[in-house]
Order: sequence, then structure tokens, then C-alpha cells
Amino acid sequence: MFESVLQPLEELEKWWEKPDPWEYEGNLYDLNRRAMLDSVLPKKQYKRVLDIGCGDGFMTARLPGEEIIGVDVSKKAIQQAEKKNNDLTHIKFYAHSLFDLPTLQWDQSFDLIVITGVLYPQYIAQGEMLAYAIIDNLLKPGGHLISCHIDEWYHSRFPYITLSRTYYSYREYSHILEVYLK
Amino acid sequence: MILLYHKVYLESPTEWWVDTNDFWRQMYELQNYEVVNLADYDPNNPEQVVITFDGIYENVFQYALPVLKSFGYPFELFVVGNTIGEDNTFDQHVEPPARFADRQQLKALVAGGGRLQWHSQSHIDLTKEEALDTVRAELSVPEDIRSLDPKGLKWFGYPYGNHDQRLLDITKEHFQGALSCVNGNDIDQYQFNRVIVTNGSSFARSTVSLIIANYNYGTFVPEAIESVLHQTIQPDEILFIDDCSTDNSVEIARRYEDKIKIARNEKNLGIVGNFNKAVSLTSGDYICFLGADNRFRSDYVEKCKLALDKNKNAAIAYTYAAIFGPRAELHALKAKAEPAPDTKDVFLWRFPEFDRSMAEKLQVANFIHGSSMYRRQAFEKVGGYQKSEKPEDHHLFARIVSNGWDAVLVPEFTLEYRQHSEDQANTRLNTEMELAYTRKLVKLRTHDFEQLKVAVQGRLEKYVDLDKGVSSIRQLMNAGDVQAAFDLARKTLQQFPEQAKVIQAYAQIQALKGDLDNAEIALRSALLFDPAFADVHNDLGSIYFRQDKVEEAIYHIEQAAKLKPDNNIILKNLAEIYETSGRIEDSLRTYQKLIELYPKDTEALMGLGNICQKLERLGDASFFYNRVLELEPNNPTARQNLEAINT
Repeated sequence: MFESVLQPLEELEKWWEKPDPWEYEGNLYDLNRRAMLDSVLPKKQYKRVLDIGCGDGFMTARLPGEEIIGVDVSKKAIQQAEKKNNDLTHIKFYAHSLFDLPTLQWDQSFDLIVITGVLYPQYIAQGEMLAYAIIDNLLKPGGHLISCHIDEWYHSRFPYITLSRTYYSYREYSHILEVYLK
Repeated sequence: MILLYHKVYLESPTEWWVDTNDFWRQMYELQNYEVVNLADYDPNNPEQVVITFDGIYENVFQYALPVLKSFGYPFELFVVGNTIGEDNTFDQHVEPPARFADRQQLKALVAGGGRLQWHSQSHIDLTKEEALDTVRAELSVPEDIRSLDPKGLKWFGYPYGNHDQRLLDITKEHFQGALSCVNGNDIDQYQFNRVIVTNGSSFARSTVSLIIANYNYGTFVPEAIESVLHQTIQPDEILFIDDCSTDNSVEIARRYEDKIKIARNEKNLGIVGNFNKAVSLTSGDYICFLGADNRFRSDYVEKCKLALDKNKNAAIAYTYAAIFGPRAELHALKAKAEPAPDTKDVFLWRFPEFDRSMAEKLQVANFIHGSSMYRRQAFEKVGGYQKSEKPEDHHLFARIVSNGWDAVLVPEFTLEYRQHSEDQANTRLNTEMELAYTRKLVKLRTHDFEQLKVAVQGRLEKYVDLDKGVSSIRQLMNAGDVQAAFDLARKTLQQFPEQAKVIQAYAQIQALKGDLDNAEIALRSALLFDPAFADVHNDLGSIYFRQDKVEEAIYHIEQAAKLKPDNNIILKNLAEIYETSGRIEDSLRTYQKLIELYPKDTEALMGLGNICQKLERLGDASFFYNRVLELEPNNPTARQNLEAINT
């Protein structure tokens, strides 16, 4: 009998019914995660920025960029993100899965893409290669991709030049934080 | 060859679904063929392939289309008229739910390189349908569907693949050709056969052996191996070859034993011997080496394999390199590599494109790095790696090229070339020097021991049974009668001056008496008689530890652990000494091994807890302390430490 490894969307939505379900705010590990991202971000001005797996926008508002889009598969998460950031006009949030992105009609070119906690078996199963193809389509040549994941669950390496790769402690796991240049 | 897909998705619940990773791989492999539309298909041309889908399911639009577009392939979509935009209610007893593409999605598929074809109006078995009118109605394409693709709907796919002479004749009235998948052939355009594709289907035309070559690259090894395991196209074979390292590289590599082959040379063979041996242990058509201090970018195999597949005259595919690591800048200056944009840490090293005029140049200057992919056939023809004044890889490639083969440049930075720090090199040098010094010391102290033996000889009575003697000494020691044990040991030693276990007992008594120097001399001598005596190494390590000679202590306890890898006392000593000397990762690894062997060893669990606490991995520390308390509910240290964490 086939058993899917994919987590049903309903489960995720239920999870996002309460605010900040993973308790990022005020958690030292997550504050550190944010600081680590700040420290590896190339110091440069970006025009269009995409935050994939933005959740309630924990990182989104800190990203540099004239126009920022945050997407998350959970509608509830996106509602929270919008509420938290309703004063920021340069940021827009949409409820989409990574795999919806190629089907959308908006401008598909970004010069910075951040992807956090998305490329895990429970969200993408056997989908790494499609994920690479989708992101490659969205990222401009010369653009940067930042990937931040729990190393134990993450089985991806993007076919771009690695500008940096950092490992640090995150809760009971290790995080792998990569900066790529396309 | 005409391929038949039904559903493409993130996973494959039944054989009718191909998962996206396998689908991508299959599309990659088809680059060795000419992918054409049915209209251009010549069944006598084995180089041609047609990609067809039946359904058409929505997941083809969402999960297959982006991949098909990225490869730029044409493909054929056999659509069932009355399912457009509907559910698969008809086969949900055997198949998971899957919606069919709606008109918009079909349009997008056509815009992305698809061509619509006809798979009947309602997918009934037309060989079983008696009414001719019904058959004709099933075959006729409504105008609104035809308008979705003005170039298409000229081919028919028999429902269930079934056809007979009557259906074939009617089909000829409506279509330019038709496809089966059960009883077709490769001759008749109205009954071409199709190959049903599943996850396991492969269209590869070559195999790759990837060899990771290691000598004392310990801490870099995991990165090298991980970079290989994350290749977008997996090599058919991965071999880790170790040229007799003196560090723990092989132990590290063994963590990946289920995924890679590991070979270790008993003696250091040097580059030529080692590389030739490695090649002989593999069988792939293409070969590539990765130094265990470097990394391959995840598309290295993908790009190089394709380059060799496509260029039959080329025996070598070489790439650009990205230089990284603490000394990257220094090397980049020498190599005239430019810094990558927006960073100071990575440098881009480009090489010239190959043409025949470069063949001469290659004899004197190298522009093909050692991690290039090459054909086994060429390697064998020119006699493999050979000793020369040039670097071995350069020499091999120069000979291959002068034998008439070309090389092909893959203009991508797929080799990640690490420049080590001075520190790294120095540490290794230091270890080597320490070992040389230790060996010298052993010889000196042995001389001392010979004199000691002379001093005690003649004052000792005769003793007969060795094992009895040793066990009596131990009994006296355990009883706390150190003096009696010492006297007996001296006697026994006179009878058996070259028995390591007697010397060990003697040394232990010296240590008990606090005479560490004499204990050390004795243990060193014991090792001369029996260099593979694990307990003696362990004792000697402990003595050194007490004397604050940490390097020597580590060396001997490591030796003990190599000889008796499953001994908990030795492993514990090793873990402790690693921890004390700041080698936290090694200590963790040793504790991990202990826990694998002795899951209930509370001392090991406490040790792990302590390390985690020091590293401020408090969650892990609590986990281990709690485990101790499960086993020993009254353990006071575990309790105290836990309380300390919780406050």
C-alpha cells in the first residue's frame, strides 16, 4: 500500500490557525537565524525579491529590495503575514505553493530569491529537480539565491556557484545556510 | 521509440505515475536523442523519440510542463474529449484522485510545446462497440477542441491501446496515424507501438564512475562525499579510495558506506599507483576523480556526461573551477582568476576552449584540471596514469589528446576547488613529527628497561605458570596489597621478561604507586614485544594523559581503539581525552559510537550531556540527562545538571 510522505495542506492550515505556531518570536534560535541571514546577505541593493515559504513573514520585511513578494502555501500564514506588515507598501504576500509559481501570470524575474524551510520531503517529496527548474526560471542570471534549511531534512544542492555555506545550531538540529550566485 | 506517460507528480502512488525527479532524469537522458513530433517521426531512425501523454491530467500541466519547457522538447497530448476539466471518477477504485486539465491548461500546454491529439470522446473500448455510428462519433473531434490547437488533432490514440481491422479502417478516414500500446508495431503508421514509461525507465547511453581520492583530508571528507551524493544526475558508481591515511578519514567515509564503495590501501601507493588502482576497481564508461578536499557542484556529472555523450571525438570533458577556502585569494592571484561578483571569498577560474591547435599547447601548459571526466577507453589506450615530471593528470590528458582524441570544454564552474589554510597543512606536519619523536623515545626507553631487567634479575625466584602468575598479581592489586603485588610481579617478570601482559601488570602497579615514569617505560617496552596490545596502548595513553602529554596520549588511545574498536573503557577514555583537548567533534563521534554499542552506558550518556551543555545545545543535553535518569533514577549529577539547565 502506498503511503504518501506529503503533508496534507489541511494539516498545515490547522497548524497556522494560531499565531506564530513555531514560536519564532522571542526564540533565541530563530533570532540567531535572522542574524545569520543578515550576516551572509550580500551587501547590495536588490530590485525584485521573492521569499518562498515566508510563513507569517518572519524574515520577509527585513529583506532588502524595492519590491518584495512573499509566498507561502498556507492561506492562514499569509493572512498573518499581511496583518503584521500592513504598513509596508513595497511588500506583497500571496498564498501559493512553490509548484504553483510557474503557472502564475506575474513578472517572473527576481534578483534575489530566499527559500526557507521548504525543500523537505513532507513538502516536495521527489520534487527537487522540478524545484530547481522552477527557481531557475524565476531567478535572473547574476541573481542571488539564499537557501536556509534544517540540514538533517534537506537533500538539495543548487547547480549555482556557492558564495558561502554556513552551518549553525538550530534547536535540536543543524541549519545549513547557503548563498548562491546564478 | 514512442514514449507513453500518463501522470507526473511529486511522488508516484501507482505505476501510472512517474515522479518529477525521475521524469526530469528521463528528459535529461533524452538529450542524446532527437525528440520530434509524430508528424516528423521516422520509425526506422533509432535516434528519434516522441514523448506522448494520455489523459490529459492536470498534473502534466503543473509538474511536467515546466520541465518539458526547460528542455525545449515538443510533445504530444492525447486528450479524451469528455474528461476535460473533470475528475477521474471512473477509475478511483484503483487510482488516487487526479483532475484532468481544463481548456486553459490545455492551451498553456500547447503554448509550451505540446500538440493536442485525439484519444476518443469518452474512452470506451471501440473494438467492443457494435454500433458504427458510435465508433465514428467517438473518433470525431468537436470544433471547440480543435480550436485549442489548429496544428494538432491529426493523430489518434486507441482507447486501452486496443484496435482491430474495422477500427483501423475507420481511423484511416479521420487521422494521419494512430498509436497503440499493446499490439502495435514499428511499421504501420496506424498502429505504432508505444513504450509505457515508469520511474525506473532509463534512456542513458553511458555510465559514470566517480572516484573520491583521499589522503588525510579528514574534516573535508563529508563535504566532498555530500557534494557527490547530491548530484542532479547520480553517477552509476561511487568509489572512495584512501591511500593509507594516518587520520580518521576512512572512519568518516564509512558513515556513507551504504551509498558508496570504500577501498583503503594497506600501503601508501602514491598518486600514480593509487589512481590506476582506483580506475581498475570501477567499470563505468566515463571516469572522474574528485580530491576529497574539493567539491563538485551538483550539476558536474550532468554537464560533463552530456558533453561526452554528445561529442564522440572528445575523450575528456573539462570545466571551469570556482576557487574557495581560506587561501583562495592567494591561489586566485597566481591563477589569474577573477573574484566572483558580490563576494571576496570565491574566485572564478576560466580555461580556454579546446581546438586541435590547442593540442600542442597542452603538452607544455595545462588547462585541463585533474577532476575532468574522461573515457575509460582512452585511458586504457594510452596506458593509464604514468610517472612523469608533469603532474600525473596533465600527463595522462596530454597523451590522450596526442593520440587524436579531442577535449571539450564545459563552460560552467562545476569544480569547487578548495585552497587550504596553512594551519591545516601544519597540523598534519606536526602530527607526523610527533610520531617520529615518539618512535625515537620508545627506543631510548627500551634501553632503560633492559638495565632495569638486569637490576632485578637474580633476586627473583623461579615462577612457572604465566597466566596463574598474572592473575595472582591482579588479585593482590584488587585486594589493595600493592607491595605484595609488586614483589610477585617482579618475580614473574624475571621468569617471563618478554611477556607483554606481565610487563603491563608490572606497569599498572608502578602507576598505582604513583611512579608514572617507570610505568611509562615498562608499557613502552611491552609494546615493543607486542605492538598490537590494545590494553597496553590504553594504559600508556592514560599515563601520558596524567603527565599532560596530550598528543601522545591521544595517539595511544586511538591505537587502542583501532585494535579493540568495541571496548567501552577504551572508547570512554578516547572520548574524554578528545573533549579535554578541545576536539569536541571527535569526542561527540566517539560517544556516538559508544551509544550505538552500549545504548545503556550512563557514563557515555553523561559525557554526551556534558558536551552538549558546554556547546549550549541545551535541548540535547536535557535529552541525554533524562535518559540517564531513566536508567539510574537516583543519579545525582544528572539531576543537578538538569536542574541547572532548567533554571
